[in-house]
Amino acid sequence: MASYVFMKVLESSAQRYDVGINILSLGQSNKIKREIAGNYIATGDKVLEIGCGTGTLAILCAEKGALVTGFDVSPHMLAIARKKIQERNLVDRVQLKQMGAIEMDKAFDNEAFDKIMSTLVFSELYSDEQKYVLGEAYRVLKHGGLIIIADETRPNSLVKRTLQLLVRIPLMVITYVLTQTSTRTLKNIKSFLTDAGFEVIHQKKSLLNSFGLYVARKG
Amino acid sequence: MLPLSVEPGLKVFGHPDEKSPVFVTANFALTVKRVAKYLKDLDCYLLVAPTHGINVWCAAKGGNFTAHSVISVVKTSGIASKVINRTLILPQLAAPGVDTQLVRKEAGWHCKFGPVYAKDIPEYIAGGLKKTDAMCRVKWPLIDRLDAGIGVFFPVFLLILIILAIFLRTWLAEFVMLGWGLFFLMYSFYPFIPGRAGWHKLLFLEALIGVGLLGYIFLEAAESKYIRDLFFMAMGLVAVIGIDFGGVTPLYKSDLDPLLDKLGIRWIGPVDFTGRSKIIGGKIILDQTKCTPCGICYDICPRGVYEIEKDGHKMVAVKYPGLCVACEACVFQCPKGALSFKT
Repeated sequence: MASYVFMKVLESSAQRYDVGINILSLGQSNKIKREIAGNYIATGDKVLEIGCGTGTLAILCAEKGALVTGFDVSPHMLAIARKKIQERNLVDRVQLKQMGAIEMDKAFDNEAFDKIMSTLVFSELYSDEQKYVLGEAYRVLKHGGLIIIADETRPNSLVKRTLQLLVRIPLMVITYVLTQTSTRTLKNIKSFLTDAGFEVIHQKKSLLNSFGLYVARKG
Repeated sequence: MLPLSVEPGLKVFGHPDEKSPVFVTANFALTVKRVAKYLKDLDCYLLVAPTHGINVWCAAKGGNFTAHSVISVVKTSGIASKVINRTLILPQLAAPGVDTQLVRKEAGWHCKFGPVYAKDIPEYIAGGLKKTDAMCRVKWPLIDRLDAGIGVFFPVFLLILIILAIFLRTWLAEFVMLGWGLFFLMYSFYPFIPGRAGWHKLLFLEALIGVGLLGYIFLEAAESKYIRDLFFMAMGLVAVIGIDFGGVTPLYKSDLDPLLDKLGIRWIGPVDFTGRSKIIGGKIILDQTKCTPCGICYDICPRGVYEIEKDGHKMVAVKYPGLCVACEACVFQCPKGALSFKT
């Protein structure tokens, strides 16, 4: 029974994802999503979101007038996204798909999108997957199109890393207990972007370097 | 995040060639370590699929070991250029989670389910990739029983210990010794305790102690209250240790949940038991008109619920429904949709 209780709590964790991720990132997650939608998405853009989760960013972009295609591997997350999209009457502006990132090769045509975005997804993928997804992203993006990636990053300096751990460990415990949500940190994303053929045009790190935003262009 | 996962990808054992078998497993560190132990003297490939560092059965049932995990590791590992066959051998306990038809459609590989335990892989290869019935069954040997039992009993033990330490300090030593003594006895002799599962076994033990107590009262002239209290303590402890015998095993369904449901306890905190009770009361229905019979259900059932009858013509039957643990692997894998789980 004990294991069942735990399982049941985990099963319903998708419902608490939004809350959890916001606690864990100290509000950075929502802030950076507003920033992406505000600064990089224009009306009429065809946008692909890799790992749209509960749809927060897709909705922000759709509200700005973009046509969003989002996919995620979790049916539970997508169910919540669908509900949120319906509540905001954006059904005709946001298209959702249930699939894994490694299935992008068959799902989308070449040069189909103006922008590709992805938050807190790459850190969930192992490095071979990251390289594969970036290769596919390059293929489906139009020339001159942008890829925008926001994720947890690992600070370079030891002092900042220690500070980050001090803040992060208690936060992680609290967040996990409350919402069974956690994240991992992203390494080497800049060199993977360059290897895939992108040109990194903007890079920003938050306080303590714990949250990073990368914007790259297909030349 | 937790240091329990290993980087997914391809692992090579021995000197495999283009005809060597390709195995798949989860990326829980202990799982990979154990599988590697049994593959190290063989010539084969092992694909470690991304399952968030969770073991095979839990990940498969919990949505972390899916077709997407398999497709991902197949496509990113470059295994297709190393072998000419296109067959992946998955652990049998991945069957509740991996949609093999999606793997075929997206990655072009055929999946088959190998043995439950990695230790059977050498024999499985030697036998020409054929499973024996024993290789299909989940077992619950002593070491696993103690392992699971300690995990469940220890928190309860600590809780009672704290309560006793505050209110009834005189009984502490007896509680510790009797508690662990009974724990080891009960879990060691679990398969030999009469009763189907769960509280059936519990009732037998309680009756046994009851008889012991009566015997003691009749036979002992100088009856001591201390010994009698010990008997009562043992009865209480047996109840605590064994109340969800079924629930800690991979072999039986928990009896406690339907019992709670019958008593009118439908939820504890955020946890609703009603859905769970339905699963426990449910049973597998086989629609013979849709059954081909391919035998995949027989092949992947960890409990041996099915039987292939060959008198006259081959057909599949739900022979031992009482053994079913509702993992629903067969329902998920049946290519014709002939199986359903009726609650």
